[in-house]
Amino acid sequence: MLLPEPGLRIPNMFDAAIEGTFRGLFVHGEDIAQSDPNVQHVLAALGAMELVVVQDLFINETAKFAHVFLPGASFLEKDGTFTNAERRINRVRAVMKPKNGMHEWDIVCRIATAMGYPMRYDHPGQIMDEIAALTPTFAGVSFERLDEVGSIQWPCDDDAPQGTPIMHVDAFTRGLGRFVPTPFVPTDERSTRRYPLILTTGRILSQYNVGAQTRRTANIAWHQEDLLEIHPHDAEDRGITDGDEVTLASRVGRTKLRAKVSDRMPTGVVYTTFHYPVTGANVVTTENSDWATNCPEYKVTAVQVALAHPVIRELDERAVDNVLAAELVD
Amino acid sequence: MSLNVPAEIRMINSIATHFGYLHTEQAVAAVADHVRRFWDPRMKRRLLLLVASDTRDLDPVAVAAAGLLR
Repeated sequence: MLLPEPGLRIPNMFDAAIEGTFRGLFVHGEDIAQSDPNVQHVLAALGAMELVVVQDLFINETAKFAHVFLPGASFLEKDGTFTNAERRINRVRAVMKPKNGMHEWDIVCRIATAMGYPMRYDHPGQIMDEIAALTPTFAGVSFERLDEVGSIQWPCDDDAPQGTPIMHVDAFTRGLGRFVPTPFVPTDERSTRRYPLILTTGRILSQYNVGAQTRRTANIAWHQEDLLEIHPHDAEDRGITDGDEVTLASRVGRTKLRAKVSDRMPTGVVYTTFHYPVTGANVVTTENSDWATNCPEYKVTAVQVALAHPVIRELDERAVDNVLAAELVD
Repeated sequence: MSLNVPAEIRMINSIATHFGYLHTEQAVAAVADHVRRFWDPRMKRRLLLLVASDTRDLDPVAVAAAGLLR
């Protein structure tokens, strides 16, 4: 039975896991041990749980914490729908049987049934029928209808049997529109003498999110590692030249990567991607988030960057702190 | 605010900041409504315990909103 109360959002699940009130997680097609901020906090949470189940195409970073790993399937093996950003529901048809011998949805259904909630379907079209029965905006959607017309943009119901290419043409769902002020809520993150630069993270075209899929393809020819882009003035202040290995440290963690001196960044701001677990850019990002949805603040982390001298690599963490502090004083 | 401050305190403070454009009474009601609708019961309970023990790090609007959640 689904509880009427709202549940925890992902960052709050990690807090609760560490407190001991959140004990199990089923992760399907996501790599939270690489994608979520403050990785050390995430790893502590995963390590504290009694049961972590991961279902994925690959043994990703999160899977290393899994008590149970279930094989996922690629889109080429799937029969179902994809809904894109213009609300368009498209059919996707399998070109081959799942290599793991079972459809992903069938695995989930078998687990639910074994846990006492029978889920029995002969075909994914029956799952879509259930979605249509429970979701008013999908009421007119079915595999048969999709096969007939190709694709449908929701809402699709008795009032709009062909779907809705443009929403809110004459009125909003509530009637007239309502303007609401959205005052700027500034971040609590502050640059300081110890962490004087702002790190912003992002993506590059040839890699997808944490790279779980794209790092395993020839795309790595275009992007072989995460680089730290730094303005020439900030680099010069720190004795950093293009290609140097540098440490990137914030209040919550530190990592190492190579520098790319570039005026693409303004002074005071450094940038990197988060596609490689060996870099682990999210080791340094914090749990700060927005007020409404708790979307992590990946774009504003106060950091310090320093040359990763070979001698530093051999020292322990406390010694690295001392070296960084000494460099700041200098 | 430091990351050492409990998440519930940081979160309700930023909600209170957002609703700062409203009159105090309306802001208090809006913050309480947001928490009631979108927070897990465990977080609501923990918030009330935190508010009962110490309000130093809390926005006054957040304290008043917590009072409506009891």
